Amino acid sequence: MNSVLERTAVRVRPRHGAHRSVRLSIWKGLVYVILIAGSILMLFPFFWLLRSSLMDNGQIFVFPPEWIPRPFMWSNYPNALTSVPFLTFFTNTMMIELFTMSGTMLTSVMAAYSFARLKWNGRSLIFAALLSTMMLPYAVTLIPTFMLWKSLGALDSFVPLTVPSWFGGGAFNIFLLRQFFMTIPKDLDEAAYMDGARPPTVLLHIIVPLSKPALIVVGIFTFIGVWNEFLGPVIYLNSEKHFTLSLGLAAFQGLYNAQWGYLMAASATIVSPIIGLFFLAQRYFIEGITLTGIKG
Amino acid sequence: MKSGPTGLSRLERNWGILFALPPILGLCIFTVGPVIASFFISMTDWTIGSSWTFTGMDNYKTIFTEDPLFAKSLFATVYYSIGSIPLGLLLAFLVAFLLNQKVRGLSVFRTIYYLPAIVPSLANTMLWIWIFNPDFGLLNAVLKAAGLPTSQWIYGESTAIPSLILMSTWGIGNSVIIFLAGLQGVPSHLYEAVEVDGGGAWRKFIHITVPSMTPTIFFNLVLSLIGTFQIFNEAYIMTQGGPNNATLFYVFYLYRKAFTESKIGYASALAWILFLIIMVLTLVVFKTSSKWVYYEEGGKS
Amino acid sequence: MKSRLAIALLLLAILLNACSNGPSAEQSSSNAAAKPNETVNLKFMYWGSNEEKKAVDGMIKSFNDSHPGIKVTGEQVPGDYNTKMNTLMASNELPDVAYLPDSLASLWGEEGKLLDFTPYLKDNASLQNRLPLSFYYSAPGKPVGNATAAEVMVIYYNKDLFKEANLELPPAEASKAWTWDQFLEAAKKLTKDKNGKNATDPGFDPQNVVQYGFSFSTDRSSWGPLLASNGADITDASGTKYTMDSPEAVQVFQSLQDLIFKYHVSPNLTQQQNLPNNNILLQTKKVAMVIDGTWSLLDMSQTKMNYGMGVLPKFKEPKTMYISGASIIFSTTKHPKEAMEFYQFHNNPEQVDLYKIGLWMPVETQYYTEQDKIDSWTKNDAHPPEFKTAAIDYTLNNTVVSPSASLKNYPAINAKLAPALDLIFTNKKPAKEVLSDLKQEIEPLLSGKYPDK
Repeated sequence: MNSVLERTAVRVRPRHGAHRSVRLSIWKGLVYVILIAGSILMLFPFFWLLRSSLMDNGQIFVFPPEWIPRPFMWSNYPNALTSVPFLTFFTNTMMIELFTMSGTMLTSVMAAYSFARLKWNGRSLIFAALLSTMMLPYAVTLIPTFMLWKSLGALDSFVPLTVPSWFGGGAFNIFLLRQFFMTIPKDLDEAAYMDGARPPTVLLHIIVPLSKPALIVVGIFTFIGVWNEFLGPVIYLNSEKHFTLSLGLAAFQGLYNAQWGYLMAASATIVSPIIGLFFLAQRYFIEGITLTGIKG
Repeated sequence: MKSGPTGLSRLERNWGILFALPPILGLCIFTVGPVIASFFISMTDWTIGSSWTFTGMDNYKTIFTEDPLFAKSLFATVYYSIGSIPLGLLLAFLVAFLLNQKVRGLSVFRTIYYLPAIVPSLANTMLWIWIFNPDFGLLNAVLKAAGLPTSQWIYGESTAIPSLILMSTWGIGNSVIIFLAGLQGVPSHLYEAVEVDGGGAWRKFIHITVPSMTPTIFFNLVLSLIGTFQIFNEAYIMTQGGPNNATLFYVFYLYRKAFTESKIGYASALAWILFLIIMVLTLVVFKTSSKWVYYEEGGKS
Repeated sequence: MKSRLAIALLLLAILLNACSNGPSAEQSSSNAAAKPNETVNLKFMYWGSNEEKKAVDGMIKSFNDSHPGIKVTGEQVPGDYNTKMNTLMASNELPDVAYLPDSLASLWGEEGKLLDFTPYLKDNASLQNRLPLSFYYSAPGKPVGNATAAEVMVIYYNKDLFKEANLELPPAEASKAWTWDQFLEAAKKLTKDKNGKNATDPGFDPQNVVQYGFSFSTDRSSWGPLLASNGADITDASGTKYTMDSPEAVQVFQSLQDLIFKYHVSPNLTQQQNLPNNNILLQTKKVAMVIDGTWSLLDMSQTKMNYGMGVLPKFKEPKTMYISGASIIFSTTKHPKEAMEFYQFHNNPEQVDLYKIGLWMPVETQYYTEQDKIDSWTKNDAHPPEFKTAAIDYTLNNTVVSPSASLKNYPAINAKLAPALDLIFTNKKPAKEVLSDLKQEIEPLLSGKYPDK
């Protein structure tokens, strides 16, 4: 790709300074073309979700598919959102988010720092054990884990869904943060130790500020993970007053019949705040660079 | 490795253990018990709802000697992994690289590329079901219009898994984000050094970007490995393992054993075999990582 | 150390429970008359869409209102019902009354996990007078549950397409059921290519079909009743010998394969296994006839099309198949008497709204035989006039039980069966070859049938 760029640039034969800027603008143009083409593909599921959410049960499955709802079933939205206690589900989901997010952010950062930077006996072994928890299919630990929570008297509550996040926040997040922490120059820690700092200080004042993008990634993943989690709530929650949004969504699908239009309208409603949140959060990726001065 | 001042190693040890205490406790409380239990269950003939007897390694013997679906499902899973891991990593890396350029509307682009990862899987799968529909679907309509040969997609025995691999490229959003965060962390002075030497964009990319990204690439590789070997949803929602078991993925097979046939003993044995397979593969990746992953600490993972 | 932690966790759990049980208005004060210590609490677990949930909630409310001293709590399980039930069974955390998929009901009935109805039969007339086919037995003469609703397979069709093609409508009486050849002839005439030619015309273009004559799904609900109609079955009567390689069974599957690949009157159905859209296929004239369960009447009646209902075509005898989930009481219940009280209430057509709208059919015989009872649930817009013969009489006189309820080990058998049948439905092999190859796969899994009386 680049050689093509170079050849084009050579054919243009500008003076040296201009040469660079032409090449740059060609490159920019190419980036735009690729990004826009990809965007169209990526927007597809979302368009489809929106168009389905405004159709009646019949039109959704018409073959060949139709893109424009006829008529626009705006009523799907109020009907879907009032046919189940959405506000309760939303509150429950937010409660779980709050407990899980705080637990995950706090304990995974500490653990990842320990695995990436601090030396202690058995570190590798514990880390390996942690990683291996991701490798055993959850389907087989489901029942023993359920029995554990039963013996703790925590069924039909948020406890099984939230408390584990306070114990490291999951192997995935620890592993992710560890990878990032390991790329931060070690001299920074050592300089701080020379000044008499202790590990917590190093973590708070050096590692965390330099890892903002990674922390945001963990935040986003955790949030979306809770938002879309399905099997856990199905197994542990019984009463409707504890249901989460993802359960409310599933309830539009029965064994014999499904309210597809409602399902799609509810899906669209549930997805939109996440999209907004992500849109806001990803800006911090860019702010992460401002500190690269220290990294040099 | 330089060792710091004498008190430092003790300081590191104490704080290190303290900071790692939550996951250590979590392992002891929430994981060890259920894991040991599931291993024990794998050595019984337990069918949920009936009494069980201890059968030792019988389940494992049966799996290896009398269960044609074991090999079949393992093959489907490995096939899918080999197809989707490199493709997914490459695409995610390229997309992340493009999304890290200084172009206008970046926030919007990033959000768009992450969309498929946010849309609930049910909506996503419904969409793909009609994209793949051989008679009325979008893909064949496009191919027909272009005068190209059409396909049976997920409904053909030989094309089912390639179709799902194609579909998996939609779900690269998570890897893209991790790569993006990694790209943000590449020290700018390294780029400047290349520029001083008169190197162009390509040299920057090959000599700076890619090596600095190796820890993130490594992470995504390990995660894809663990993830694709446990592929489940596509079979569960879209294909039910068909046609003719072409998409009978391993975890879908054991899930069906456990929760449709209630044979939890047998399913647990299946799970432990998969666990060992993933474990060995991950170890191999870890062992080779020191050759190609660069950490600031000096390359030991 | 660990035990202290467990205690701390427990405290946290209690605390969180207390929080989450805070100010949520759900205590119905309808039975405030009964003192709390006299109230019997029952849990009822079920599946279904929100529409069904509304009907079930209404039924529970009227039960609680009319039975002071018993408080039933309904728990709708959205999504993976099997996984949840297996987990609850494994950890002994069962509700009192629940729906169960038919294969689980048979399995757990035999294991003694379901309440034996025998002691309750003589005092409860409604239990005695249920359709014989609707019962599940743990042992001969020991009923442990019923189908939640009676559901059988029928033909739905779009009347306008029959008018266009100048054809007689499919018969709605079992005694007048079409033979397979009559049915095939109609299906051919109803199949059209893009030039408007039907499948009997010379120059018909099978590559560009715009309207198919008939559409069926590839599971037991389609081929099951046809097998029975030809006197064939998966196994012999004892359930220990594989008989799907009989000429009669081969004939059924070969006929189905021919519908798709020889006569081109049916779409290749693996493509549609994901779309619950038979009513849409009919409405949009993609298909003229479909085979579907009586539960689809709800969807059919909600479309604005001119649809009709008929009996299935026959090979030898007119037969249909009874397919339905079960309702049971778990033997772990502490209040069997009250549970039984609720059990008889929970699918009583006078209490539940799901019969009138076309989703369910009752399991009590009187609703099929006594005119005023029949009218009470079918005299409305959701039920077409031919419902009486095509569904009610059909259910009474021409029904066989689904193998998923009657055959032991069915889930495991089906795991072998479905992929092999895919070979037939995708035209990889002729039916005869597939069905004889299947013998060695299925035979080792056969372990008899569950009792049916």
